[in-house]
Amino acid sequence: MRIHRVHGANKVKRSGVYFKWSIIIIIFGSFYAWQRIESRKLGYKISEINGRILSLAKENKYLTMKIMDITAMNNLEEVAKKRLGLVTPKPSDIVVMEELK
Amino acid sequence: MRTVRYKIIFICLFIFFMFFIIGSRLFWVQIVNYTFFAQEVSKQSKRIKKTQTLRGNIYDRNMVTLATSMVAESCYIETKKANGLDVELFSKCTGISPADIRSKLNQNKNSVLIKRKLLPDEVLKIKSKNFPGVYFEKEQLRFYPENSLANYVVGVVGTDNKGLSGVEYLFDDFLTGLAKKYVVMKDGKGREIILDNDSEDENRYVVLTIDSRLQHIAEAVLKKAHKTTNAKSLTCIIQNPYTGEILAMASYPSYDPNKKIDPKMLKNISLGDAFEPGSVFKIVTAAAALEKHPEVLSKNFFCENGSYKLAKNITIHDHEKYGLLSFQDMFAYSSNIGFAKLARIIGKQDLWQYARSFGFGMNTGIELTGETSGRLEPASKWSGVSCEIISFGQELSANALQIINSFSTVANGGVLMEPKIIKSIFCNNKDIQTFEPVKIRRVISPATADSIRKMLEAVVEYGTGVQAKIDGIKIAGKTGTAQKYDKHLKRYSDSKYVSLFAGFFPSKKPEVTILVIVDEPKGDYWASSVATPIFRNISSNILEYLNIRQENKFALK
Repeated sequence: MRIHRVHGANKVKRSGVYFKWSIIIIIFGSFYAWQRIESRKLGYKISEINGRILSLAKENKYLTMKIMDITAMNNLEEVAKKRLGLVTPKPSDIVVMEELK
Repeated sequence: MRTVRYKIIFICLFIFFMFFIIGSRLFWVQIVNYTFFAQEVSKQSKRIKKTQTLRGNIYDRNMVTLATSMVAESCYIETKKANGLDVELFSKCTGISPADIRSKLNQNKNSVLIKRKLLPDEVLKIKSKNFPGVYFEKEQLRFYPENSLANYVVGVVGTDNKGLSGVEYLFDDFLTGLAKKYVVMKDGKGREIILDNDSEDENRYVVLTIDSRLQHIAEAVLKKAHKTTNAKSLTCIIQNPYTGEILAMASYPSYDPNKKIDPKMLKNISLGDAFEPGSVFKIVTAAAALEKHPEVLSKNFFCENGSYKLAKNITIHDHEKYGLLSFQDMFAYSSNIGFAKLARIIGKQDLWQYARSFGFGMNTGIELTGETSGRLEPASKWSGVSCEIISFGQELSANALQIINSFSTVANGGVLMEPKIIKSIFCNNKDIQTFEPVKIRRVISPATADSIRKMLEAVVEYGTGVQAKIDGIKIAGKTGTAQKYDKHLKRYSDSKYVSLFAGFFPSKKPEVTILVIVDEPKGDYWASSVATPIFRNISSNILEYLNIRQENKFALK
């Protein structure tokens, strides 16, 4: 009878160890799965942000080109002459200001 | 009880067996055959994608953008999915007529191209309407911010973004760059994750020697001059005489590279057209005479009162009737008769030798393609009167660059420089190659160059080039009016002329050499009244920009 009781206690002890190991494995497994899911989610986010960066860069480039187009010398001259009524100065119209030493 | 127990044992064994099978399979897949299956998964979900980097920019010497690229989208329609497409509305959004859209849809193709290289604004407008079957493909759009500025130098690209002319053609491979590779992983829903980028975006660009301000001034003056001369074409080149750098190379009529172009317009007239230089060639004759026979400087030449018979059927004329002229006056008044007599003193071999030394009859060495070398026959092939006729710029042909180079040679003291149009090329802001000035050869001594400079000053002071005069600036220059050879009539035309003026200033220490060519002006064709005023307009407009101070100019202190 005593022997039987000791054997039972060992059994309980062993199943406790198994349980603990199972919990540890489950925790590690869950952590691994969570980490994989999170990294995938981050991957999607990075791809999305990259896409936005590209689209913003594209928009930026387009706007820069619009500025270049507007500030092109031909356009500036046209605006200066037609809209503002400016004229190209003749050499005789320019007075040079010399710096006093 | 026992039966229940057996049943439980059986179920447990069965479950254990099933798990064993699954476990074994997992062991087989995950451990034994891991490499094989990993590769299979990788093959199906990972892909290497290639994207072409944007074509490199082209800048002027002050980093003003002359050509750049951006991503544009081309609009397509999947015909099978396009049922119910509102053609009228779609037409308004794309700017293509409804009839054209309908004919494209009826082409019996799965997919049809509607419009290429749409700008982001246009794409947004179309996307917002959610047209059925409409989709977009990315493409590169080449854009020239300064429109037609320096278009003959910069060149253009075709619809496939391959360079067709100018620097675009010359540096096509360099500007195109390499395709960028990156690894992406696709999941079941088709979403992509970028796993690996093998390289960063390359930033390749070319810097030209062109100064866009000088170029703009030259183009604007030529455009204005076209209205008064009604010429077939007008050309202007501005060069730095000490380095050979081309600061402006303009031609009119011109084209806007952002619009559809007639391929015939792509030819760079400054390089591809050869014509008889006329009297501007007299600097070569004068240089040969001064180098080989310096005594001519103090000689007088009888100019036969405007008409002189060279041979039986060949009589040459001067613009005005001149009698006895000094060497300098003969040059200032551009007497053909005087120069024909001078050529006899020089001799054909020496005249040919100096013409070659000045770079006539051969390519100048500029980086651009499509240059014609002109025509200068060897002295051995010259006829009995060739020497006299060539002395005033006929019976030979030259391109604009050869002429301006010969004037720059005189301007810099006698050294022929290789003309340059490319300043440097860069990759990721690192200077890959800088194109340094190249001295080809010394053609004349500094003393001879100085004598010719003084004679060129006299041309502008009281000779044929007085209209080039600007108060307070010493300008050295030479006019040239050449009859064009008519291939059909097989003789010189009586109605087609080329009018030229080449010069440099300030004459003692020149900053720039300028050449103006007016091809086939209508009405007045004399260089003194056609090309010379254009030279003056360009010169007076660039003085302030180049910070050239007029000697008598009032200055506030």
